[in-house]
Order: sequence, then C-alpha cells, then structure tokens
Amino acid sequence: MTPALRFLEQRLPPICARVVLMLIYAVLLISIIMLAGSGWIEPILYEDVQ
Amino acid sequence: MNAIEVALVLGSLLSVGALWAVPRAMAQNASAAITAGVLALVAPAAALWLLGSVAVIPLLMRLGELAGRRGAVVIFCSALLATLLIASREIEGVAGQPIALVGGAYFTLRHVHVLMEWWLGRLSIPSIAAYARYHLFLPVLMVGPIHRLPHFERQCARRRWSADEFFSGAERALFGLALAVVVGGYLHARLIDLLKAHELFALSPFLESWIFSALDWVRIYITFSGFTDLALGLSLMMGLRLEENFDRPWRARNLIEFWTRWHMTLSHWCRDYVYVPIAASFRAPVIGVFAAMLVLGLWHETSAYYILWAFWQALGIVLTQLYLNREDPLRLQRLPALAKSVFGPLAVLIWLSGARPVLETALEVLIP
Repeated sequence: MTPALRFLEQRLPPICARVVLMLIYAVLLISIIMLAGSGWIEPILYEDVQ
Repeated sequence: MNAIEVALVLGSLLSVGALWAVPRAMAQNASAAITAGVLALVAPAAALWLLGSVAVIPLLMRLGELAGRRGAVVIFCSALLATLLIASREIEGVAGQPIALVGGAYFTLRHVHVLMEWWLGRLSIPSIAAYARYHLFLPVLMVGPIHRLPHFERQCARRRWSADEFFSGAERALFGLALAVVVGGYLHARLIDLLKAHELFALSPFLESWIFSALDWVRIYITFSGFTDLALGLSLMMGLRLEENFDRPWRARNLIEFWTRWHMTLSHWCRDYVYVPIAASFRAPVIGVFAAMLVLGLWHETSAYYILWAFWQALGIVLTQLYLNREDPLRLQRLPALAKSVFGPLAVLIWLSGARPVLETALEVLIP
C-alpha cells in the first residue's frame, strides 16, 4: 500500500480514502498539464525524447 | 506539452476507466478501440499507418507460413517498415497541413519484434485482434517502452484489480509527468539560460559544445525517464506491469554497463534482433556491436551525424571491452569505493557527450 493511501485509510473509511486520493491526484494532474500549457515552462516535444 | 501529448495522456486515463468499467472479456478490446479513436482524432496519418500495418502483417505472416517462406516475409516486412519510417521523417505535411506521425519509431520496432520471434519459431502467428490489442495500447504509444507481445499477453491474463497497484501507478505517473515537465522542461531551461547569461563557459566553442552536450544528456534522461514513468504508471493503473526502460544509468561504471541500463527495451531489441544474429553469422562480436549501434543510431535519425554517432558509441564499447579483457591495467579497481562510483559514471558521461563536439567538428572537416 502506498504511504498516501495508508495515511488516508487510517483516518477515513477505505472507500472515502480512495475517492479523496483520486480527487487529489486528478487536481495535481490538471495542474501539471495547465502549467505545461501555460508557456511558463519550456515545452517538451515528442521529438525531444524520441 | 503539446495538444497531442495532452490528448494521449487524457486518452490513456479514459482507457484506465474503461478497462475497469467494462466486463473483463471486453476490457482489452475497449482499450484498443479508445486508442484507435484518440489516435485517429489527433494524428490520423499515424492511425492509418498503425491500423494498416496491424491488419496486413498477420496476413502476410499467414501467407509466408503457407508458402513455407518465413524468411522472405520477415525481410520484406522489415524492409517495408524501415522504408516507411524513414520516409515518414521526410514528410512535413500534406496539402500545406502539418501531419503528426506519432509513435512510428516505436511500433515499427514492435512489428519487427513479432516478425523475428515468429521467424525464430518462438511465437505463433497472432490473430489480427490479438495483434491490434498489443499495438493499440495508448500509454506506451508515444515514448515506449518497446514492450513484447508474450509479456504483454501474460500481463493481460494475470490482470486483477488491486487498489495498491492502482494508486502506485497513479503516483508513478504523476511523478513522471512532473519530472518531465517541471524538472526537464523548466529547471533545465533556466539552468542553461543562467549559464549562457553569465558566460561561464566562454572557453573554446569545442569545450562549450561538450559541456552543453553533457547537460543535454542529463535533460534527456530526466524527460525520457519521466515520460517512461508516466507510461509505466498508467499501465500499472490498468493492472499491467510492463518492462522497465531505465535502471539507474547514472550508476553505470563503464559504457557497456551504461547501454544495459539506458533505454533497456531498445537496447534489448538491438541485442536480440541485430547484435546476436550478426555476431553469430560473422563469428565476430565486434561486427555485431557496430551493426547494433548503427541500427540504434539510424532509429534516432537518418543522418550522417547519427551514422558517425553510432560508430563513436560502438568504438567506446569495443575499447571498454578491450580494457576489461586486459584485467584492469590502470588499476582502477584499487581505487576507493567512492572514487570508483564517481569516476566510472563521469567517464561514461564524458564519452557520451563527447560525441557531439567531436563528430560535429569531423563533419565540418569532411563536408565543408
């Protein structure tokens, strides 16, 4: 079990812990994608890592 | 990230949801259908290329089986795939519109893997549906890993829901994306700006090129391993553990070890399908090394620079092997452990990054 999931499951019912963690990860994912599209970060293109 | 990359990430997340939402028997088909849909939407030319090859290659394999000409089919298909890959790099657009040929370099190698395994008698001909499920797997489409068909099918068969695997995968995917985008994309660019602004490397252009080449290797490692973590994390969210691509290459003590730790699925592919057959045919491992590095170089880019780059890397491998055969004449093994752990990786980085200044200078002399 990952530390984040264990931490939440100790404090919330398992199903709530999983939903909360998924929401947190979704927010983080959207933030990174928005950050990447904002122009503040140097774009990394497919060709760079091919 | 560009729009295509964002679409591929979001499409992969859609696949994760579909894989757990639909009945098990239909799950992989649903994932493949989403991949085909997303690819057709963001890169129609790549979708046409991939779907066409997925439909045609198993048919050609069947014809080859019936005619008893496996070798001819493998050579024909491999040559055709290589030609298409090289040609795709020359196409900038159709009717003034740019076209995106996403993932061609990777699925070409997957095709050749299946063809070679079939030729060697280690794999039976997959059905078109099974072949499509293998190729139409969205997380690995853009930057690999070059996963193998038998391993993928084993993973699909053992797939079970596990909250632990799901959240481990999500964490790895997020970590990888942040590593590639924030560290690789932002911090590295700012570091280069800083170094250029302060003219810290206002030495000779040759030495400056060498230092920036070394920094580029670091950036490529950060972004590439980040995107690989994203792909493997998304796969794990689907319950599939695919092959790893990096094994701490910064710890490699010599160049041979480096190539067993860096982009491992590609180097294993080159070892199995280029190095082993050629080294065995000519009974000369050196020829095998040069051929494998040549294929690896041309896979990156079809250019004179990458031909020279391949010879540079092969030369490094041969020199390393010669040194290892001579039982450590420089007595490096007697160095303290800390010195060894620094000296080896540093020597590897110096050789790898030395390719750019040395070869660019050589090209300027050869092609003025």
